[in-house]
Amino acid sequence: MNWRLSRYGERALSVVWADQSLEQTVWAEQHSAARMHALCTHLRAELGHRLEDAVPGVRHLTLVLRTAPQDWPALEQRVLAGLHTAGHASTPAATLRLPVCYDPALGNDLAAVCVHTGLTVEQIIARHCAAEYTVLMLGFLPGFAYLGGLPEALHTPRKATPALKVPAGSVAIAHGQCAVYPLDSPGGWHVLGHTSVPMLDWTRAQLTTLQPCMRVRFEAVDLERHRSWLDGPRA
Amino acid sequence: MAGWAARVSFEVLKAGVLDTIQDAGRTGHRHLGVPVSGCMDLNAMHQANRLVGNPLDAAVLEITLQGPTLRSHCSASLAVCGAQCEVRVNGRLHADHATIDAVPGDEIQLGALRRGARACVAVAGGFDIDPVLGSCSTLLLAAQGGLHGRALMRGDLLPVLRPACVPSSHTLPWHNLRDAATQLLIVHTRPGPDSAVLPASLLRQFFNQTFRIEADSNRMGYRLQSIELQHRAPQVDSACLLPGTVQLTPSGQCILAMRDAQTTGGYPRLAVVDDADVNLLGQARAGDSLRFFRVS
Repeated sequence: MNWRLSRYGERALSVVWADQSLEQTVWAEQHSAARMHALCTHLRAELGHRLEDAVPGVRHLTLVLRTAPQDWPALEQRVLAGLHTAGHASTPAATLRLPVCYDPALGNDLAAVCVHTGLTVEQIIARHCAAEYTVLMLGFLPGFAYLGGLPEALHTPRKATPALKVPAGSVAIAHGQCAVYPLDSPGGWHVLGHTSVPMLDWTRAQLTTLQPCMRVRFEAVDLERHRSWLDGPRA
Repeated sequence: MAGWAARVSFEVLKAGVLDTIQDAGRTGHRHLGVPVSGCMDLNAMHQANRLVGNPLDAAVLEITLQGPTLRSHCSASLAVCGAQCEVRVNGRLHADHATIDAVPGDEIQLGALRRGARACVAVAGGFDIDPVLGSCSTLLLAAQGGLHGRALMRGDLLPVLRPACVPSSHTLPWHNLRDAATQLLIVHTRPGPDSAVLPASLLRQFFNQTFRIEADSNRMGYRLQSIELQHRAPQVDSACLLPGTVQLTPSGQCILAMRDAQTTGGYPRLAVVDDADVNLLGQARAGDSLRFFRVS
């Protein structure tokens, strides 16, 4: 295992898993993200109040301390020890199913994805719904989850010019990943459809609907049902 | 009911450019994508709170370039610290960086800011704001925290928890934050976590030039104008982004992350400004010149 530790500013430590051989596959990405998540959980308990934040990424994590540590070498040793004992995150038993309306009336980018992939709208929807996704990390916006596992046939680069406003609930893809916009925001991902399930609830202890390592599937719903769910709570 | 609410508040007669409630920020939720936020210049917050006898991290009103006009509906001491602010009480000029005793009916005009971009307004007894995830800071992009999740607007009532008057004996000195001769902002900076994957010549270029802060700069970040940095940096994975970090875009432009910056970024993190000097950057305005002074 090849871990690289480096200091980030005065009070953060960056940990990178630099195992080149595993980088390219979807499985490796999920495996790596799960390790990073487990390690964050372990280090939160281990470092307690000293830790301001533990931020996992796909192949790295960042530990932000409250104050600049006076004991960098000891801290680095503790982190390295944690890398060997933390193990893996247990996979959540259930898969979250998110309804998606792919109707063109919602102003999506399906046409552009058709052009890029050479697939029909029906094929894109079928493939998008057939795959199982894993939350690799959150970032960009509160509740914005990077979902790994997008089928290769759907891989599409970001838009050359980002859209000024992507509405909250947009289900979008870029490169090999998929995401749901939690808030109205500028964005460069191609929107395939919309979900009526909110991604954020600031009044809840569980702020975000999607959590690290969670598994997600998308299910196509028609426009009428989508609108009825948007209007009222789900039956 | 309305009368009671009005008695313990400040009413916004005229909004400033960007008036938001801020405190030390919202930590512990970066892994869910929640930015830290908080005062752009934490020193200004500490100073203002110290003058009115509040805990140093109590929520304050952060004002930008031009402050609001407020009507006091309570008796309370205020302090304005940070950039120099033209303060008028019922039209009479009043010193900043000193306590102001407001009584009901007073009109407090917080005018143009000079020598800096932001000031913090503290009120003795503190603003009465419900925290979100442990912080009162306004997060504009998510419309959360602060007063209704947004900047102050005309007609808003800014509630005060326990309005109090404090002895107004002392004044805090105002510090010139810039190099006296050149008016340059000079900030202590270290190489960033991705500097190892970038050519060494790039860091040298970075530390050897003067940057100008571009117009479309805000609480999320500043765009820096300079000679384009030549590089063929590999694309890096999205990773944690701390306020004070300079990222290098594929076109060779430097972007400086500030308090409302997103929690992760996908561009190489070239350099990081020391915490103390991020406050100094919080006082920078568009057009200001800036140099990064290497400390490690």
